[in-house]
Amino acid sequence: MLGCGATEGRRGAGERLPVVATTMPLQDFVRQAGGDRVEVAGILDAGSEPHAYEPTPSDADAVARARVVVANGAGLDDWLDDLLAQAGADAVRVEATRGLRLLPGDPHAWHDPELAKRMVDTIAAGLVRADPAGRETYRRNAAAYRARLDRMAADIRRRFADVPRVRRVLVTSHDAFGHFARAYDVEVVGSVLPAATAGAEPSARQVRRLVQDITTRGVRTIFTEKGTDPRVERRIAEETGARVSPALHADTLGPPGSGESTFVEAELANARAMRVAWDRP
Amino acid sequence: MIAVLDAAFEWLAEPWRPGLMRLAFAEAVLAGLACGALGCFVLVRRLAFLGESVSHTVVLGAALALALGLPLGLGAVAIALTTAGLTGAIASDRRFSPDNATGVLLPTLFGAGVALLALTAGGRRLEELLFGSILGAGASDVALAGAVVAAVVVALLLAGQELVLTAFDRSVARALGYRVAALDGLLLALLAVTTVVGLRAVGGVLLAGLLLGPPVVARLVCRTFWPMLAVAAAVGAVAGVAGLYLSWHLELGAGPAIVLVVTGAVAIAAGWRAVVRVRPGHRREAGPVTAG
Repeated sequence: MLGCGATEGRRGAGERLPVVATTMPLQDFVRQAGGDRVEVAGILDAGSEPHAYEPTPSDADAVARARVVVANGAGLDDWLDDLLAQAGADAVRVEATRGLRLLPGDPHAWHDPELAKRMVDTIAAGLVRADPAGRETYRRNAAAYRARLDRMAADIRRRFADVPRVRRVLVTSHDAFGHFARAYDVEVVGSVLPAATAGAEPSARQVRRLVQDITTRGVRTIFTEKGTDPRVERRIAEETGARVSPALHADTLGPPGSGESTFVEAELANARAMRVAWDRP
Repeated sequence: MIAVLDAAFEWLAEPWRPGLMRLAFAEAVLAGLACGALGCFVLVRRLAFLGESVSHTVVLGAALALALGLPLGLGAVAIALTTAGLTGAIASDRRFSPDNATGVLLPTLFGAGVALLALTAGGRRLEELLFGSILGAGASDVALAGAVVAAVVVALLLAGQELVLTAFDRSVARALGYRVAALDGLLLALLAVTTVVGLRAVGGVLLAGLLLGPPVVARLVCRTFWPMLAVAAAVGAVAGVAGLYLSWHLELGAGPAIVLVVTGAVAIAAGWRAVVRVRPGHRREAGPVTAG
């Protein structure tokens, strides 16, 4: 799949740099930075559960053939270590969030555009290490994409600008929007599945706390996520009078052709969904 | 003193206030009743392996249903019946014991279920199916659970004695002219729909605990079958309520909390049984459960 980055510096036909990236946002970042010089294979797709993923033999195969392996780090894809140990001995390893100061317990750094830019730079540096001949291309692509991210961030801030601060609240399915909230001056009131939960369901105590918080703060919308069945969200909405919203892209991106298949498109869609929800009485 | 009573009352009453908790309590009670009752038949017929198989392989049924876009319950029921049928078929071949049947079927079908879920973008649903999602129970889930309990009650009222006799002494039942195969089919069908409800409550991994734990407790304190069934159903229901209290007041997941209570009840019943046995002059033999 080709990204929409610069197309200069094409390698020989069929000689693209094979890169494996774990999450869908990372896969997009690699395509943006690498353009036509790279061939991206992804491990996680729209239906995968990133926090507890079980790699398949084809994943091991992709890792073995890769010259660069891009992980998120910060605890999101620790399962990759075993896979790398078994399969991808000599690939360049990129930990996209290395050196970044993240919110504790929240690996979803890419939702903060400043952190996303740094992640793209880290990825580009990794591509350069594996393919020094492409240095100029990767740097140019990364710079262009950083500018794109800046425009996206400005777009989102404009979209949120006239929403009163007290209405800019998020309750989501899981704790994926902390960095987003910090970047765009939004408040995360809570999530259905708090970060420290193992398993698919919160305890009744956690649900009780969330219901209290929603009621106290007057939250009107519970944001679900793509790929989950929002049963508990619906119950909480019934309990508090809030509404269940259309799903956000938390860990993943939309499928190809959906108009939300790149990170920028998906994030703008998230912002639109939030704005629509906040505008409702 | 009043303050203590008030606090105690508040402690008891508080979890019932939110509507979603009332739904969860209803689901837990109904699941506990059905699993406790059906589990007695599974236990008496020494079909614990079947209970274990079915409870795991419903994950495959759920995965198939998800893949085909069908209601979850339909897939789970279909696969539960298939598992039960296959297990029975393998077990009736004299070359294999029931353990062999479980040994083959459980990993195969469960593994297939997990694989299918991963392939069909249901990976996120897997945890829900494995560990339960009782706090997400809605009115339709509770209605389904109620229908299952009603079906079990009707079946026991209409064919209870036949089912019990078939469970205890198959050859006598056959000799008496009972349609043993049809009764087997009825039991398996009840087991299948019961496991579907239990799946929602505690998930595929722990379902066998809810199915077999209460009958074990009842077996330790009862000597005849119908009291045993009543006690097992009651233990299942009480465990459901108590588990939700634990989930509300402590930070425990609801499904595991329910099964934890069942395990505690087994421990208490076993301890009570041991005490009763060693009391001098009150020695009671732990004889087999009789049909009564």
